[in-house]
Amino acid sequence: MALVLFRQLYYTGVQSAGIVMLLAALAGAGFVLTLQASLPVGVSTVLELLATLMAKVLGVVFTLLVIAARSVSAISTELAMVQVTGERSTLARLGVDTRLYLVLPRVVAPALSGAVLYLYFVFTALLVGALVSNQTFDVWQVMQIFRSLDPLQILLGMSRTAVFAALAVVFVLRFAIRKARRFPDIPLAASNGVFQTIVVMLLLELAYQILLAAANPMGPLPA
Amino acid sequence: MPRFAGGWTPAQVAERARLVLPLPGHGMAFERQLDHLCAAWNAQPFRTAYLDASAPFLENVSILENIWVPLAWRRSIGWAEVVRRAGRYRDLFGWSERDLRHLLASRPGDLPPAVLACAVLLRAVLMEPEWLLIEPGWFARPLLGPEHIVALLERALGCSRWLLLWPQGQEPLPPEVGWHTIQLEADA
Repeated sequence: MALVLFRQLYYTGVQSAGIVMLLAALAGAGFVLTLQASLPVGVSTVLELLATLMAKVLGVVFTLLVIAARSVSAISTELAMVQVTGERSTLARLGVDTRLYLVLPRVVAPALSGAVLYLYFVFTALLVGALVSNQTFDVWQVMQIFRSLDPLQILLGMSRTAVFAALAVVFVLRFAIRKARRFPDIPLAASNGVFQTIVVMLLLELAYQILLAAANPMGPLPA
Repeated sequence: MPRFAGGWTPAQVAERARLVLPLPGHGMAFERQLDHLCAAWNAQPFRTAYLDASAPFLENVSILENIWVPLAWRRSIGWAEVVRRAGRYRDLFGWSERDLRHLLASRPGDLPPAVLACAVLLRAVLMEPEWLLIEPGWFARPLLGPEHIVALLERALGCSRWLLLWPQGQEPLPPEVGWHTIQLEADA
């Protein structure tokens, strides 16, 4: 099982890192440039907004979307194939616990990778946003932006990404892949899997934000 | 231990070590029967190997990993140990060291059916089973020819108790084996 987990971590975590950082760079740069062009605010305000938005919402949402698009589609296809061809039955008949061997690594890996990818996303978006905003490329000045990050928010973002990714994959395994019985069901299982993952992930994030707003109806206190 | 109908004791069953268990149903119903039976056998303390014919291997990993996974699961045998033990059985299949290394490194889709059948057999041999469950496809749609399969099975796994899971009413039984038909109790 450890071997499968490491392999899944590689596919989900390592191979997705580049895509996440590219998206983060585009999101960070786009956000800063749009805000600077449309609002009469200073660089420090723009960067604080960027840090808050990335850490609280966009980091989680973008990372989950990358996991859904890249990893869940692969996991859905692979497991639907294993089910349709009868390979799952064979493993079970050989005495292998298919939940532990096939399913668990594919739930744990997106969760662990998600937490790390979220970090990559937030830090890359802030770094690129800072570089684009002040355009001085003064490293020390750029690094100041990371001070505006709240460690609790980062921890919450990592936890949310991990939990939501795991729950969404479990949902897909439970409802999309089990229905696959014939070869034509495989692409359907994959596309349904991705769609269901995105919906579940966004619903979970929405529920979290609603709960957060309900717990703190007045919003954050002014500094 | 699954209970045998007709008052057979495990010792008597062991004497009649070439057993046929007729299973009712066909298609999906038959497959479910196989699932239940294998689950019951795997829950026992004795070692069981299974000869699957329809989808014997995971397609996206090597034969070595396919052989290693059930061995690691059931017998905690490491990867290197599997390779070492597989070397002992080269002569059985008439392979050279190079053939064996090529087989273990290959993906199932890259190998012809006859070689895959030998790989399934190798996996069963490495389990060192006390019971060998045999899917009907091994004889109904022979990959190597029934006589060749029986000879190979006798050489590789002659000391195990064979339990051929055969669709009820399907004749004839595989040749050149003194099969004894048995029944299981309903709750076995």
